[in-house]
Amino acid sequence: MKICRIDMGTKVISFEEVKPEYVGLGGRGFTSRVISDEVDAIAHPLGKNNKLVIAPGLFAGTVAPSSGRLSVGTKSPLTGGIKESNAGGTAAQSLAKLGYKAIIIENKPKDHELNLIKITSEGVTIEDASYLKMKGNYDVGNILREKYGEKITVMSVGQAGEMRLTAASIAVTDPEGRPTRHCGRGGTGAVLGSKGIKAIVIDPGKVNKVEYFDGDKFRAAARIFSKAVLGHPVSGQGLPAYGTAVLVNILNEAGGLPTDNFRDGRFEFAENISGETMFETIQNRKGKTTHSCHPGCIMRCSQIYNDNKGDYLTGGFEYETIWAFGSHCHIKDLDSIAKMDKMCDDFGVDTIDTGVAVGLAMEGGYLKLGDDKGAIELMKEIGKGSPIGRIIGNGAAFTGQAFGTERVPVVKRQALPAYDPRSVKGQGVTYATTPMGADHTAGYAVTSNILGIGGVVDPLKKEGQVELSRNLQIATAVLDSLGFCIFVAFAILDDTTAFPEVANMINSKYNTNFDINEILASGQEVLRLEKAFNERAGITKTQDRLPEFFKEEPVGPHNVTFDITDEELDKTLEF
Amino acid sequence: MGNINIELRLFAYLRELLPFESRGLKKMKIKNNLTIDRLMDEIGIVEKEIMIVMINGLRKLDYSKTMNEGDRVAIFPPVGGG
Repeated sequence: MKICRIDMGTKVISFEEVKPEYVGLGGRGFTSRVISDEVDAIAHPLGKNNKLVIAPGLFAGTVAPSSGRLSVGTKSPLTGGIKESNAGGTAAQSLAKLGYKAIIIENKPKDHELNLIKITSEGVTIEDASYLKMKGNYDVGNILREKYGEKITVMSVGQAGEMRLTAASIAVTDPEGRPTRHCGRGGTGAVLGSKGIKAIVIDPGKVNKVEYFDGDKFRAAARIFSKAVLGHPVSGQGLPAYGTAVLVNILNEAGGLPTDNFRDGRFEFAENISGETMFETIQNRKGKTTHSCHPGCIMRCSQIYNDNKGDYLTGGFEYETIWAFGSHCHIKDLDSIAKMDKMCDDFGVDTIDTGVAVGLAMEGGYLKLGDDKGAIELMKEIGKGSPIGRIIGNGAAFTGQAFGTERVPVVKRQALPAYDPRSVKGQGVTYATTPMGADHTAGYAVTSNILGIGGVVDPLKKEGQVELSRNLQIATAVLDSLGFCIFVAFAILDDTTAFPEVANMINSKYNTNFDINEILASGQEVLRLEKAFNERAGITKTQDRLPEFFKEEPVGPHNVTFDITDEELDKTLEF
Repeated sequence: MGNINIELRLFAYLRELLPFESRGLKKMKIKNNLTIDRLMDEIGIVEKEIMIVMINGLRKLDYSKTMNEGDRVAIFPPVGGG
C-alpha cells in the first residue's frame, strides 16, 4: 500500500510508503489523522494550507460485504471544523485495487485552473480539464467515459464545487457510471474545486493489488459476517426492498418527521412521499427497486427511479433527501422531489443542506411553503451560478442568514437531517455533539429510539440518550474507518456473532491481534483527534448545542421539547 | 363487553394483508378487551415478536395490553435506513 501526494501548486506528484503509525488506519481514521497532523486548524478551508485526503476504508476491495465506502477528509468550509464525509460508489474499491491507501491533495494553483487527475496502473497524471468548465456531474461522467473508457470510476464536482459553494459535494459514480453517490456533507466539493480539480478518473484495469495476510481466514470471517447482515430482517429484507425511504412513514407515525421547518412532527401528506409509494411508483415505471451502489454490497438499498415516461430520472433517492425537499418544504409530489434530487447530484450539492436551504427560502418569504414548481426553478439557479443560486448552494445556515430568519436548524452551520431532535432525542444528542456538525449517521440513535434495534430507548425521554449516542458515535467511527456501510451496524447491534468477525477480518488481513475492545478504543481515538482539531479551530463546547427553539417550542403530536441539559451534552464525548 | 373503534395502519409488506386500495388503512370495530397480541392474530401477522407496534405514536412492547376508543394503531415490520 502506498500514499500518493499531489501538490496542485507545483504540480509535483510524489509517492510515499505508509508510516508505521498509519498502517492500522483507513477511511475516516486515516483522513482525520492526516488532517489533524498536517493541517493548521486555523487555515482557511479554501486556501493553500488546507488539504483534501481521500481514503478507502481498511477493507476496501476485499470480499468483506458492503465495505466499499470512500472517506474524504478536510477542514470544512461549511463548519470550519474537521470533516469526514463518506460515500458509496466504486472509487474506494478502484483505489484499493491500485494499491493506494490514500490520495492527499495539497496546495492550490495560483490562478483559476480546471484540472483532472488520472489514476491508473501506469501512474498518476494531472491533465487540463478546462473543457469541463461549469458542466454538471452527469455530463462530466459522459464526456470522461467517452474519452477514457466505459469502466472508469469518476469522482467529480459539479458547478457548485467549481464555485466553491459550502454545500458542494464530491460525486462518486455507481456501477452504471452515474454520479448518484456523494460525499455530501460539509462542502468537501468546494475544497476540491479550490484545488483547481474538476474530476478524478480512476481506472484499475485488470490490476488488483488487494492483499491478505491470511486470505482463507479472512474469507471465513467475511462469510459469517455476511450471514449475520443478511440474516437481520432490516439489512436482509427491509433495505433491499424499500430502501431508506421506508423511514418516512415510521418517523411520521412516531412524530419525528420534521415538517414545515421543524414546526410539526407529522406531515399530512407523508403517504405521498413514503417508501411504499416510491416502491409502487418504481415498479409501475419499470425502474429498479433494488440496486447496489457498489459491487459486493449485499444490502442493495439503492434504486433506479424513472419518470412517468419510463425514462431514468434519478437513483440513490434517500429518505433524508425526500424529507428535506418533501415534508420540510411541505412538498408532497414525489416526482418533483426526485427532480430536485437529480439536480443536487448534477450540480454537486448536499441534498440535506440544500433541501433545508430551500425550506429556509420559504421561511424567509422568497417562496411559498409547498411550492414545488417554484422550488425546482430556484434549484436551477444553482447550476446557473446566479446570486440566488449561490445563496442556496451555500446551504442552510447561509440561506437563513441571507433571508434574515432566526429559525435556522443547524449545528456548527451544518443542517439538521430528517429526525426531529425533540421526539428522537438520541439523535438530538448526536447532532449537538458530533465533531462533524449536525449529522445523522455519526451516531444513529434512531436504531434504539425508533427501530427497536440494539435495544429500546424511549425516544421522548432524556434517560439513556447520552450514553446511546456516545456508544454509537464510537462504533460509527470504527465502521467509517473500515469502509463499511453503516447499515451493517443493524446486524452488529442485534447479533453478537457479528462484531467478533470484524476483529477476525482485521487480524487476518493485517496480521494484527486486536480484540474488540481495542477496536472500539480506536473509534474513541478518532473522535478525540477530531474534537481536539475543532478546539484548535475555535469550535468549543458552546457550539455543541442545538438552536434554542428546540428547547423552547414543543413539537406535536407528543408536545415535547429538547430537554437534555448542556452539562449532560458535554458528557457525551468525555472519555 | 363493548366494542371500540380503532384506526389500523399497516406498513411495508404488511399492507399485503389488506386490499391494495386501502393503502394499509382500515377503520375497525374491535372488542374492548382485545389485546394487541390477539389483534395481530386476527389481522394475520405471524412474526409478532419482530414487529414494531405504535399506538398514537408511542411504541408498545407489552402486547397483552388492550386499546382505547379512537386509537391509531400502527404496525411496522422491521424497517430501517439512515
